[in-house]
Amino acid sequence: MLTLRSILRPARVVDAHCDIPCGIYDPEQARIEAESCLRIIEKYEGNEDPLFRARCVHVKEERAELVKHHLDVLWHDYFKPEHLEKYPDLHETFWKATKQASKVKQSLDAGAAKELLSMIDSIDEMWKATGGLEKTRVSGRPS
Amino acid sequence: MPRRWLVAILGAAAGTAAVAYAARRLDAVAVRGLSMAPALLPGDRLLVVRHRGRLRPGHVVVVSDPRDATRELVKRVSTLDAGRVSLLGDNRAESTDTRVFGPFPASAVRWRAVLRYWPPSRIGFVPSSISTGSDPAAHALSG
Repeated sequence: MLTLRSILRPARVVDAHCDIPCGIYDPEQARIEAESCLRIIEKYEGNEDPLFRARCVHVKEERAELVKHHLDVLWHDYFKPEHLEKYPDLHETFWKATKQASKVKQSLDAGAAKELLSMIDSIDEMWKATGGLEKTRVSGRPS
Repeated sequence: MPRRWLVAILGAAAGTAAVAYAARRLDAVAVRGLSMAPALLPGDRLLVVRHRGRLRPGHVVVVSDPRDATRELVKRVSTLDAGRVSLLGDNRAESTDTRVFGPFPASAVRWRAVLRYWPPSRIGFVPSSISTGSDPAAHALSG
């Protein structure tokens, strides 16, 4: 209903939004979980205690699953068809990286974890080149 | 003269009814987000009318968000097909729209944006096609 009040100060808001929740998409989230995986594998190797090792495996699998999740969110929600035009191998890169995360989940291979980190870094490059840093990071973060 | 009074009273009543009817079919909304830039910018205020009749590609419409019925989205009609309507944000790289939700039923379109009445510098009809970004302010915003 149009009233003088609604004209002066519309209470009704229409969203010309990009997605609803928070708009924060940052490959760092995946990177930190992947770093966890690598460190856990190293700790596993340096400790014979079966109980400790069991915990390592459990936590590493959990973290690797989170890597997949965070990469998926970036893939579906941050990247847009326009970005695909700019980076035709975007899908391939994500597909390989999430597969690599599965590999890290299944194995205790530090090399696989390092490979995963470098794959996340190449996603990070695309993210930065498409303005992700300026668009999604809250400013004022200490470097 | 009683007859004149009667005419005057009836005329006033009809006028009031017409204004009330028009007011019910109109509303004012505020824009949030950049997905319709540069046609619509955050903080723009729009006059919307209840939509009746046929939609055409280029119409800027208000629909409720399929993910959250308490929110409304403003997007542009891209294509129409058998009672279904594709809605896209003008600023593709920063829009969540039909590419994510799929097409909307045409009946979901209840309102159409016709006039941008605030800020004064941007008063005008809502353009019925995507502007190519002649507005330098919009350029700065869409970074």
